[in-house]
Amino acid sequence: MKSFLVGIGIVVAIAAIGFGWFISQRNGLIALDEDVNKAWSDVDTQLQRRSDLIPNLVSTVKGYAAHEDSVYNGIAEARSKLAGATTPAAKAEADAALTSSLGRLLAIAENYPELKANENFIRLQDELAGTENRIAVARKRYNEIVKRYNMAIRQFPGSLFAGSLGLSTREYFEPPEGHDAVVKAPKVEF
Amino acid sequence: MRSKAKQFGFWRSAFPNQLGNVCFVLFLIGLALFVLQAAFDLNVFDPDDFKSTDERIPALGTRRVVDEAGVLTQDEIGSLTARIDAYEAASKGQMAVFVIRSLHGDAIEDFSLAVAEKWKIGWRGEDNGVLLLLAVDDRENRLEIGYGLEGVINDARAGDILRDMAPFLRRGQYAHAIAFAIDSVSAFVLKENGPEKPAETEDEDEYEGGYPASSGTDAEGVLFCVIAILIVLELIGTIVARIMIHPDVKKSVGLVAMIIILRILLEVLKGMARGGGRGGRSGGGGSSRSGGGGGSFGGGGASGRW
Repeated sequence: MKSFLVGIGIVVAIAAIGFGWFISQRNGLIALDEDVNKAWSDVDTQLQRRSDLIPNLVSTVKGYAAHEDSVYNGIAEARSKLAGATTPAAKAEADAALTSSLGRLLAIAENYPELKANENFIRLQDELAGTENRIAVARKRYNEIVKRYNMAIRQFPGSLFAGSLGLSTREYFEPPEGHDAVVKAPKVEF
Repeated sequence: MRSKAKQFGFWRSAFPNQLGNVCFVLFLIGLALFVLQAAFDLNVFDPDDFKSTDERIPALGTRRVVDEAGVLTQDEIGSLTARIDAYEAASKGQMAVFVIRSLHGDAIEDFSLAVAEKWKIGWRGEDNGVLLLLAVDDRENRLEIGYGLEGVINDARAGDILRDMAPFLRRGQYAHAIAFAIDSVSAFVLKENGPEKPAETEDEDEYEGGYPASSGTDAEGVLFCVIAILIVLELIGTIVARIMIHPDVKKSVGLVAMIIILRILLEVLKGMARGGGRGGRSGGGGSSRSGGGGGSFGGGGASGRW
Protein backbone atom coordinates (compact mmCIF):
# COMPACT_ATOMS: atom_id res chain seq x y z
CA MET A 1 0.00 0.00 0.00
CA LYS A 2 2.72 2.34 1.04
CA SER A 3 4.81 1.61 -2.05
CA PHE A 4 1.71 2.10 -4.21
CA LEU A 5 1.23 5.60 -2.75
CA VAL A 6 4.87 6.37 -3.31
CA GLY A 7 4.51 5.26 -6.94
CA ILE A 8 1.46 7.47 -7.44
CA GLY A 9 3.34 10.34 -5.84
CA ILE A 10 6.27 9.91 -8.19
CA VAL A 11 4.01 9.78 -11.24
CA VAL A 12 2.15 12.92 -10.12
CA ALA A 13 5.40 14.72 -9.42
CA ILE A 14 6.79 13.85 -12.84
CA ALA A 15 3.55 14.95 -14.50
CA ALA A 16 3.60 18.23 -12.59
CA ILE A 17 7.22 18.89 -13.51
CA GLY A 18 6.51 17.99 -17.12
CA PHE A 19 3.51 20.31 -17.26
CA GLY A 20 5.49 23.13 -15.65
CA TRP A 21 8.26 22.60 -18.16
CA PHE A 22 5.76 22.63 -21.02
CA ILE A 23 4.23 25.92 -19.85
CA SER A 24 7.57 27.58 -19.25
CA GLN A 25 8.81 26.56 -22.71
CA ARG A 26 5.72 28.00 -24.35
CA ASN A 27 5.81 31.21 -22.36
CA GLY A 28 9.51 31.56 -23.03
CA LEU A 29 8.87 31.48 -26.78
CA ILE A 30 6.03 33.97 -26.52
CA ALA A 31 8.18 36.35 -24.48
CA LEU A 32 10.99 36.02 -26.99
CA ASP A 33 8.57 36.77 -29.83
CA GLU A 34 7.54 39.96 -28.03
CA ASP A 35 11.19 40.90 -27.52
CA VAL A 36 11.73 40.61 -31.26
CA ASN A 37 8.73 42.87 -31.91
CA LYS A 38 10.02 45.42 -29.43
CA ALA A 39 13.53 45.38 -30.92
CA TRP A 40 12.09 45.79 -34.39
CA SER A 41 9.99 48.78 -33.37
CA ASP A 42 13.18 50.37 -31.98
CA VAL A 43 14.87 49.94 -35.37
CA ASP A 44 11.81 51.27 -37.12
CA THR A 45 11.60 54.33 -34.87
CA GLN A 46 15.19 55.27 -35.60
CA LEU A 47 14.79 54.72 -39.35
CA GLN A 48 11.79 57.02 -39.25
CA ARG A 49 13.72 59.53 -37.20
CA ARG A 50 16.47 59.67 -39.76
CA SER A 51 13.96 60.03 -42.55
CA ASP A 52 12.34 62.92 -40.68
CA LEU A 53 15.66 64.70 -40.28
CA ILE A 54 16.37 64.75 -43.97
CA PRO A 55 13.97 67.54 -45.11
CA ASN A 56 15.75 69.96 -42.75
CA LEU A 57 19.09 68.92 -44.11
CA VAL A 58 17.89 69.22 -47.69
CA SER A 59 16.46 72.69 -47.16
CA THR A 60 19.71 73.86 -45.56
CA VAL A 61 21.73 72.53 -48.47
CA LYS A 62 19.25 74.04 -50.94
CA GLY A 63 19.98 77.46 -49.52
CA TYR A 64 23.51 77.16 -50.90
CA ALA A 65 23.11 74.76 -53.81
CA ALA A 66 19.75 75.31 -55.47
CA HIS A 67 20.37 73.45 -58.72
CA GLU A 68 21.04 69.89 -57.61
CA ASP A 69 17.56 68.66 -58.42
CA SER A 70 18.55 65.11 -59.33
CA VAL A 71 19.99 64.62 -55.84
CA TYR A 72 16.96 66.14 -54.12
CA ASN A 73 14.58 64.04 -56.21
CA GLY A 74 16.57 60.89 -55.45
CA ILE A 75 16.26 61.62 -51.74
CA ALA A 76 12.53 62.26 -51.95
CA GLU A 77 12.06 59.03 -53.86
CA ALA A 78 14.08 57.00 -51.38
CA ARG A 79 12.14 58.51 -48.49
CA SER A 80 8.78 57.58 -49.95
CA LYS A 81 10.06 54.09 -50.67
CA LEU A 82 11.13 53.76 -47.06
CA ALA A 83 7.71 54.94 -45.89
CA GLY A 84 6.06 52.24 -48.02
CA ALA A 85 8.34 49.38 -46.94
CA THR A 86 7.04 46.98 -44.33
CA THR A 87 9.29 43.93 -44.02
CA PRO A 88 12.81 44.17 -42.58
CA ALA A 89 14.32 43.24 -45.95
CA ALA A 90 12.32 45.90 -47.81
CA LYS A 91 13.15 48.50 -45.18
CA ALA A 92 16.81 47.59 -45.33
CA GLU A 93 16.81 48.02 -49.08
CA ALA A 94 14.98 51.37 -48.99
CA ASP A 95 17.23 52.53 -46.19
CA ALA A 96 20.32 51.63 -48.19
CA ALA A 97 18.98 53.64 -51.14
CA LEU A 98 18.38 56.59 -48.83
CA THR A 99 21.88 56.23 -47.44
CA SER A 100 23.47 56.39 -50.88
CA SER A 101 21.45 59.45 -51.92
CA LEU A 102 22.36 61.13 -48.64
CA GLY A 103 25.97 60.42 -49.45
CA ARG A 104 25.53 62.38 -52.67
CA LEU A 105 23.90 65.24 -50.76
CA LEU A 106 26.82 65.46 -48.37
CA ALA A 107 29.24 65.28 -51.28
CA ILE A 108 27.62 68.47 -52.65
CA ALA A 109 28.36 70.18 -49.37
CA GLU A 110 32.06 69.58 -49.98
CA ASN A 111 31.87 72.10 -52.84
CA TYR A 112 30.37 74.85 -50.70
CA PRO A 113 32.75 75.98 -47.94
CA GLU A 114 30.14 78.39 -46.58
CA LEU A 115 27.64 75.55 -46.24
CA LYS A 116 30.22 73.41 -44.48
CA ALA A 117 30.79 76.23 -42.00
CA ASN A 118 27.07 76.82 -41.49
CA GLU A 119 26.30 76.14 -37.87
CA ASN A 120 22.87 74.77 -38.64
CA PHE A 121 24.34 72.36 -41.16
CA ILE A 122 27.03 71.21 -38.71
CA ARG A 123 24.45 70.54 -36.05
CA LEU A 124 22.15 68.73 -38.47
CA GLN A 125 25.09 66.52 -39.31
CA ASP A 126 25.49 65.78 -35.59
CA GLU A 127 21.87 64.73 -35.49
CA LEU A 128 22.27 62.64 -38.60
CA ALA A 129 25.39 60.92 -37.26
CA GLY A 130 23.69 60.39 -33.90
CA THR A 131 20.63 58.88 -35.50
CA GLU A 132 22.73 56.61 -37.66
CA ASN A 133 24.54 55.45 -34.56
CA ARG A 134 21.20 54.77 -32.93
CA ILE A 135 20.12 52.79 -35.98
CA ALA A 136 23.33 50.78 -35.73
CA VAL A 137 22.72 50.10 -32.03
CA ALA A 138 19.07 49.18 -32.56
CA ARG A 139 20.02 47.00 -35.52
CA LYS A 140 22.65 45.14 -33.53
CA ARG A 141 20.22 44.53 -30.67
CA TYR A 142 17.48 43.44 -33.09
CA ASN A 143 19.74 41.00 -34.91
CA GLU A 144 20.95 39.53 -31.63
CA ILE A 145 17.43 38.91 -30.39
CA VAL A 146 16.34 37.52 -33.77
CA LYS A 147 19.25 35.11 -33.67
CA ARG A 148 18.19 33.88 -30.23
CA TYR A 149 14.57 33.68 -31.33
CA ASN A 150 15.30 31.80 -34.55
CA MET A 151 17.50 29.34 -32.72
CA ALA A 152 14.87 28.82 -30.03
CA ILE A 153 12.07 27.99 -32.44
CA ARG A 154 14.17 25.82 -34.74
CA GLN A 155 15.98 23.80 -32.10
CA PHE A 156 14.45 21.10 -29.94
CA PRO A 157 12.43 21.55 -27.73
CA GLY A 158 11.25 24.94 -29.01
CA SER A 159 10.55 23.41 -32.41
CA LEU A 160 7.79 21.33 -30.76
CA PHE A 161 5.83 24.41 -29.78
CA ALA A 162 6.64 26.90 -32.52
CA GLY A 163 4.13 25.48 -35.01
CA SER A 164 1.18 25.47 -32.60
CA LEU A 165 1.98 29.05 -31.55
CA GLY A 166 2.19 30.15 -35.18
CA LEU A 167 5.78 31.30 -34.83
CA SER A 168 8.12 31.24 -37.79
CA THR A 169 11.67 32.46 -38.27
CA ARG A 170 12.24 36.22 -38.54
CA GLU A 171 14.36 38.14 -41.00
CA TYR A 172 17.55 39.81 -39.93
CA PHE A 173 17.92 43.52 -40.61
CA GLU A 174 20.96 43.65 -42.86
CA PRO A 175 21.84 46.17 -45.54
CA PRO A 176 21.79 44.59 -49.02
CA GLU A 177 25.08 43.38 -50.46
CA GLY A 178 27.45 46.14 -51.44
CA HIS A 179 25.85 48.84 -49.32
CA ASP A 180 27.17 50.52 -46.22
CA ALA A 181 24.99 50.64 -43.17
CA VAL A 182 25.66 54.31 -42.55
CA VAL A 183 26.43 57.34 -44.63
CA LYS A 184 30.14 57.81 -44.86
CA ALA A 185 29.84 61.46 -43.94
CA PRO A 186 33.12 63.28 -43.40
CA LYS A 187 33.73 63.37 -39.65
CA VAL A 188 33.31 66.79 -38.16
CA GLU A 189 36.77 68.27 -37.77
CA PHE A 190 37.41 71.09 -35.39
CA MET B 1 67.92 10.18 4.47
CA ARG B 2 66.90 13.71 4.98
CA SER B 3 70.43 14.90 5.66
CA LYS B 4 71.78 12.97 2.67
CA ALA B 5 69.14 14.44 0.43
CA LYS B 6 70.13 17.88 1.51
CA GLN B 7 73.55 17.38 -0.09
CA PHE B 8 71.89 17.03 -3.49
CA GLY B 9 69.90 20.14 -3.01
CA PHE B 10 66.28 20.86 -2.63
CA TRP B 11 64.98 19.40 -5.87
CA ARG B 12 66.61 15.99 -5.36
CA SER B 13 65.09 15.73 -1.94
CA ALA B 14 61.72 16.76 -3.27
CA PHE B 15 61.68 14.43 -6.29
CA PRO B 16 63.71 11.31 -5.58
CA ASN B 17 62.25 8.91 -8.18
CA GLN B 18 60.31 8.53 -11.44
CA LEU B 19 57.06 9.75 -9.93
CA GLY B 20 59.05 12.62 -8.58
CA ASN B 21 60.25 13.53 -12.06
CA VAL B 22 56.72 13.62 -13.37
CA CYS B 23 55.74 15.76 -10.41
CA PHE B 24 58.67 18.03 -11.15
CA VAL B 25 57.57 18.63 -14.74
CA LEU B 26 53.99 19.24 -13.65
CA PHE B 27 55.29 21.57 -11.00
CA LEU B 28 57.28 23.57 -13.54
CA ILE B 29 54.27 23.88 -15.83
CA GLY B 30 52.11 24.95 -12.93
CA LEU B 31 54.71 27.46 -11.83
CA ALA B 32 55.02 28.92 -15.32
CA LEU B 33 51.24 29.31 -15.64
CA PHE B 34 51.02 30.81 -12.20
CA VAL B 35 53.72 33.38 -12.83
CA LEU B 36 52.31 34.26 -16.24
CA GLN B 37 48.85 34.76 -14.78
CA ALA B 38 50.22 36.89 -11.96
CA ALA B 39 52.17 38.98 -14.45
CA PHE B 40 49.04 39.57 -16.53
CA ASP B 41 46.94 40.33 -13.47
CA LEU B 42 49.38 42.94 -12.26
CA ASN B 43 49.74 44.61 -15.67
CA VAL B 44 53.49 44.03 -15.91
CA PHE B 45 53.35 44.13 -19.67
CA ASP B 46 50.52 45.81 -21.54
CA PRO B 47 48.02 43.04 -22.11
CA ASP B 48 45.38 45.32 -23.63
CA ASP B 49 46.29 44.36 -27.16
CA PHE B 50 45.25 40.77 -26.46
CA LYS B 51 42.06 41.70 -24.65
CA SER B 52 38.55 41.91 -26.01
CA THR B 53 36.71 45.22 -25.82
CA ASP B 54 34.86 44.15 -22.71
CA GLU B 55 38.03 43.11 -20.92
CA ARG B 56 39.54 46.54 -21.50
CA ILE B 57 36.79 48.22 -19.52
CA PRO B 58 37.48 48.30 -15.78
CA ALA B 59 34.66 48.14 -13.27
CA LEU B 60 33.41 51.58 -12.29
CA GLY B 61 32.90 50.86 -8.60
CA THR B 62 31.94 54.15 -6.99
CA ARG B 63 34.37 56.19 -9.06
CA ARG B 64 33.28 58.90 -11.46
CA VAL B 65 36.54 59.78 -13.19
CA VAL B 66 38.57 56.85 -14.48
CA ASP B 67 41.87 57.91 -16.02
CA GLU B 68 43.73 55.00 -17.58
CA ALA B 69 45.82 57.31 -19.75
CA GLY B 70 47.42 59.03 -16.78
CA VAL B 71 46.80 62.56 -18.07
CA LEU B 72 45.09 63.76 -14.89
CA THR B 73 46.72 64.35 -11.51
CA GLN B 74 45.16 62.98 -8.33
CA ASP B 75 44.08 66.53 -7.42
CA GLU B 76 42.40 67.00 -10.78
CA ILE B 77 40.59 63.68 -10.48
CA GLY B 78 39.46 64.74 -7.02
CA SER B 79 38.13 68.12 -8.12
CA LEU B 80 36.43 66.71 -11.25
CA THR B 81 34.81 64.04 -9.10
CA ALA B 82 33.58 66.74 -6.73
CA ARG B 83 32.15 68.62 -9.71
CA ILE B 84 30.28 65.50 -10.85
CA ASP B 85 29.09 64.88 -7.28
CA ALA B 86 27.59 68.38 -7.22
CA TYR B 87 25.93 67.79 -10.59
CA GLU B 88 24.53 64.45 -9.48
CA ALA B 89 23.22 65.90 -6.24
CA ALA B 90 21.45 68.71 -8.10
CA SER B 91 20.12 66.71 -11.04
CA LYS B 92 19.51 63.19 -9.71
CA GLY B 93 21.33 61.93 -12.80
CA GLN B 94 24.69 60.22 -13.01
CA MET B 95 27.78 61.06 -14.99
CA ALA B 96 31.13 59.36 -15.53
CA VAL B 97 34.34 60.23 -17.34
CA PHE B 98 36.63 57.63 -18.88
CA VAL B 99 40.03 58.62 -20.27
CA ILE B 100 41.97 55.99 -22.21
CA ARG B 101 45.14 56.00 -24.27
CA SER B 102 43.90 54.14 -27.31
CA LEU B 103 40.76 52.60 -28.75
CA HIS B 104 42.85 49.69 -30.06
CA GLY B 105 41.17 49.95 -33.42
CA ASP B 106 37.56 50.00 -32.20
CA ALA B 107 35.16 52.62 -33.48
CA ILE B 108 34.67 55.14 -30.67
CA GLU B 109 30.89 54.72 -30.89
CA ASP B 110 31.17 50.96 -30.31
CA PHE B 111 33.63 51.24 -27.45
CA SER B 112 31.71 54.07 -25.79
CA LEU B 113 28.46 52.10 -25.90
CA ALA B 114 30.23 49.05 -24.47
CA VAL B 115 31.46 51.19 -21.56
CA ALA B 116 28.02 52.71 -21.05
CA GLU B 117 26.39 49.28 -21.09
CA LYS B 118 28.91 47.89 -18.62
CA TRP B 119 28.87 50.79 -16.17
CA LYS B 120 25.11 51.33 -16.41
CA ILE B 121 25.38 54.99 -15.46
CA GLY B 122 22.06 56.68 -14.72
CA TRP B 123 19.18 55.27 -12.74
CA ARG B 124 17.14 52.35 -13.94
CA GLY B 125 13.94 53.49 -15.59
CA GLU B 126 15.11 57.12 -15.76
CA ASP B 127 18.13 56.32 -17.93
CA ASN B 128 19.65 59.68 -17.03
CA GLY B 129 23.32 58.80 -17.41
CA VAL B 130 26.03 60.66 -19.30
CA LEU B 131 29.38 59.19 -20.27
CA LEU B 132 32.30 61.27 -21.51
CA LEU B 133 34.99 59.21 -23.23
CA LEU B 134 38.38 60.54 -24.32
CA ALA B 135 40.91 58.51 -26.29
CA VAL B 136 44.03 60.59 -25.89
CA ASP B 137 46.31 59.04 -28.51
CA ASP B 138 43.53 58.77 -31.08
CA ARG B 139 42.50 62.38 -30.32
CA GLU B 140 38.86 61.31 -30.38
CA ASN B 141 36.13 61.92 -27.86
CA ARG B 142 32.49 61.06 -27.43
CA LEU B 143 29.65 62.16 -25.25
CA GLU B 144 27.25 59.25 -24.75
CA ILE B 145 23.80 60.32 -23.61
CA GLY B 146 21.35 58.01 -21.81
CA TYR B 147 17.86 57.49 -23.23
CA GLY B 148 16.28 59.74 -20.61
CA LEU B 149 18.43 62.77 -21.45
CA GLU B 150 18.34 62.51 -25.24
CA GLY B 151 15.70 65.21 -25.35
CA VAL B 152 17.61 67.61 -23.11
CA ILE B 153 21.03 67.07 -24.63
CA ASN B 154 20.25 66.28 -28.24
CA ASP B 155 23.00 65.21 -30.58
CA ALA B 156 23.62 68.74 -31.84
CA ARG B 157 24.11 70.02 -28.28
CA ALA B 158 26.41 67.09 -27.52
CA GLY B 159 28.34 68.01 -30.67
CA ASP B 160 28.52 71.65 -29.52
CA ILE B 161 29.99 70.59 -26.18
CA LEU B 162 32.63 68.46 -27.90
CA ARG B 163 33.50 71.24 -30.34
CA ASP B 164 33.88 73.70 -27.48
CA MET B 165 36.12 71.25 -25.59
CA ALA B 166 38.48 70.92 -28.54
CA PRO B 167 40.59 74.08 -27.93
CA PHE B 168 41.38 72.94 -24.37
CA LEU B 169 42.20 69.45 -25.56
CA ARG B 170 44.51 70.72 -28.28
CA ARG B 171 46.48 72.57 -25.61
CA GLY B 172 46.64 69.42 -23.50
CA GLN B 173 44.39 70.95 -20.83
CA TYR B 174 42.46 67.74 -20.21
CA ALA B 175 41.14 68.68 -16.79
CA HIS B 176 39.86 72.03 -18.13
CA ALA B 177 38.17 70.33 -21.06
CA ILE B 178 36.48 67.73 -18.84
CA ALA B 179 35.39 70.35 -16.31
CA PHE B 180 33.89 72.35 -19.18
CA ALA B 181 31.97 69.30 -20.39
CA ILE B 182 30.65 68.52 -16.92
CA ASP B 183 29.50 72.13 -16.49
CA SER B 184 27.84 72.17 -19.92
CA VAL B 185 25.97 68.93 -19.28
CA SER B 186 24.98 70.26 -15.88
CA ALA B 187 23.74 73.54 -17.38
CA PHE B 188 21.59 71.80 -19.98
CA VAL B 189 20.10 69.27 -17.58
CA LEU B 190 19.46 71.66 -14.71
CA LYS B 191 17.96 74.31 -16.98
CA GLU B 192 15.50 71.72 -18.23
CA ASN B 193 14.60 69.95 -15.01
CA GLY B 194 15.32 72.62 -12.44
CA PRO B 195 17.41 71.84 -9.37
CA GLU B 196 16.11 68.92 -7.41
CA LYS B 197 16.69 67.53 -3.99
CA PRO B 198 19.85 65.49 -3.56
CA ALA B 199 19.42 61.99 -4.91
CA GLU B 200 18.41 59.44 -2.36
CA THR B 201 20.36 56.31 -2.98
CA GLU B 202 18.01 53.40 -2.98
CA ASP B 203 19.29 50.23 -1.49
CA GLU B 204 17.49 47.88 -3.82
CA ASP B 205 19.18 49.37 -6.86
CA GLU B 206 21.61 46.90 -8.28
CA TYR B 207 24.95 47.86 -9.57
CA GLU B 208 28.10 46.11 -10.61
CA GLY B 209 30.03 45.48 -7.43
CA GLY B 210 33.48 46.85 -6.93
CA TYR B 211 36.12 44.77 -8.65
CA PRO B 212 38.98 47.19 -8.43
CA ALA B 213 41.29 47.49 -11.37
CA SER B 214 44.75 46.31 -10.49
CA SER B 215 47.30 49.05 -10.37
CA GLY B 216 50.51 48.82 -12.33
CA THR B 217 53.46 47.25 -10.50
CA ASP B 218 57.02 46.79 -11.65
CA ALA B 219 58.41 43.37 -12.53
CA GLU B 220 60.62 43.25 -9.46
CA GLY B 221 57.67 43.64 -7.17
CA VAL B 222 55.78 40.90 -8.97
CA LEU B 223 58.73 38.51 -8.75
CA PHE B 224 59.09 39.23 -5.06
CA CYS B 225 55.39 38.65 -4.48
CA VAL B 226 55.42 35.40 -6.43
CA ILE B 227 58.39 34.05 -4.51
CA ALA B 228 56.89 35.09 -1.19
CA ILE B 229 53.59 33.48 -2.13
CA LEU B 230 55.34 30.29 -3.24
CA ILE B 231 57.24 29.99 0.04
CA VAL B 232 54.12 30.52 2.10
CA LEU B 233 52.18 28.11 -0.12
CA GLU B 234 54.85 25.46 0.19
CA LEU B 235 54.80 25.72 3.96
CA ILE B 236 51.04 25.59 4.21
CA GLY B 237 50.69 22.92 1.52
CA THR B 238 53.31 20.67 3.08
CA ILE B 239 51.78 20.96 6.52
CA VAL B 240 48.29 20.29 5.17
CA ALA B 241 49.44 17.37 3.01
CA ARG B 242 51.44 15.80 5.85
CA ILE B 243 48.48 15.95 8.17
CA MET B 244 45.91 14.86 5.59
CA ILE B 245 47.84 12.28 3.56
CA HIS B 246 51.02 10.96 5.10
CA PRO B 247 53.76 12.38 7.30
CA ASP B 248 56.43 11.55 4.68
CA VAL B 249 54.87 13.60 1.87
CA LYS B 250 57.50 15.64 0.08
CA LYS B 251 57.46 19.38 0.25
CA SER B 252 56.97 19.71 -3.50
CA VAL B 253 53.75 17.70 -3.52
CA GLY B 254 52.27 20.08 -1.01
CA LEU B 255 53.38 23.00 -3.14
CA VAL B 256 51.85 21.63 -6.33
CA ALA B 257 48.63 20.83 -4.50
CA MET B 258 48.51 24.32 -3.07
CA ILE B 259 49.15 25.96 -6.44
CA ILE B 260 46.30 24.01 -8.00
CA ILE B 261 43.98 24.86 -5.11
CA LEU B 262 44.95 28.51 -5.35
CA ARG B 263 44.31 28.65 -9.10
CA ILE B 264 40.87 27.18 -8.58
CA LEU B 265 40.17 29.64 -5.77
CA LEU B 266 41.35 32.52 -7.95
CA GLU B 267 39.02 31.52 -10.77
CA VAL B 268 36.10 31.11 -8.38
CA LEU B 269 36.77 34.53 -6.86
CA LYS B 270 37.02 36.10 -10.31
CA GLY B 271 33.77 34.45 -11.35
CA MET B 272 32.07 35.75 -8.23
CA ALA B 273 33.44 39.23 -8.75
CA ARG B 274 32.23 39.30 -12.36
CA GLY B 275 28.90 37.55 -12.14
CA GLY B 276 27.73 37.65 -8.58
CA GLY B 277 29.13 41.01 -7.62
CA ARG B 278 25.71 42.59 -7.77
CA GLY B 279 23.69 43.56 -4.78
CA GLY B 280 26.48 44.61 -2.46
CA ARG B 281 27.31 48.20 -1.74
CA SER B 282 30.94 49.10 -1.49
CA GLY B 283 31.79 51.63 1.15
CA GLY B 284 33.64 54.12 -0.98
CA GLY B 285 35.41 55.64 2.01
CA GLY B 286 32.33 57.06 3.67
CA SER B 287 31.14 58.70 0.46
CA SER B 288 27.48 58.50 -0.45
CA ARG B 289 28.40 57.99 -4.08
CA SER B 290 26.92 54.87 -5.59
CA GLY B 291 27.84 52.69 -8.53
CA GLY B 292 26.06 52.76 -11.87
CA GLY B 293 22.32 52.75 -11.29
CA GLY B 294 21.24 50.55 -14.19
CA GLY B 295 20.57 53.20 -16.83
CA SER B 296 20.25 52.28 -20.51
CA PHE B 297 21.79 53.86 -23.57
CA GLY B 298 20.64 53.69 -27.16
CA GLY B 299 23.54 55.30 -29.00
CA GLY B 300 22.55 58.94 -28.53
CA GLY B 301 25.21 61.63 -28.28
CA ALA B 302 27.99 62.82 -30.52
CA SER B 303 31.57 61.99 -31.44
CA GLY B 304 34.36 64.42 -32.17
CA ARG B 305 38.07 64.80 -32.79
CA TRP B 306 40.58 67.34 -31.67
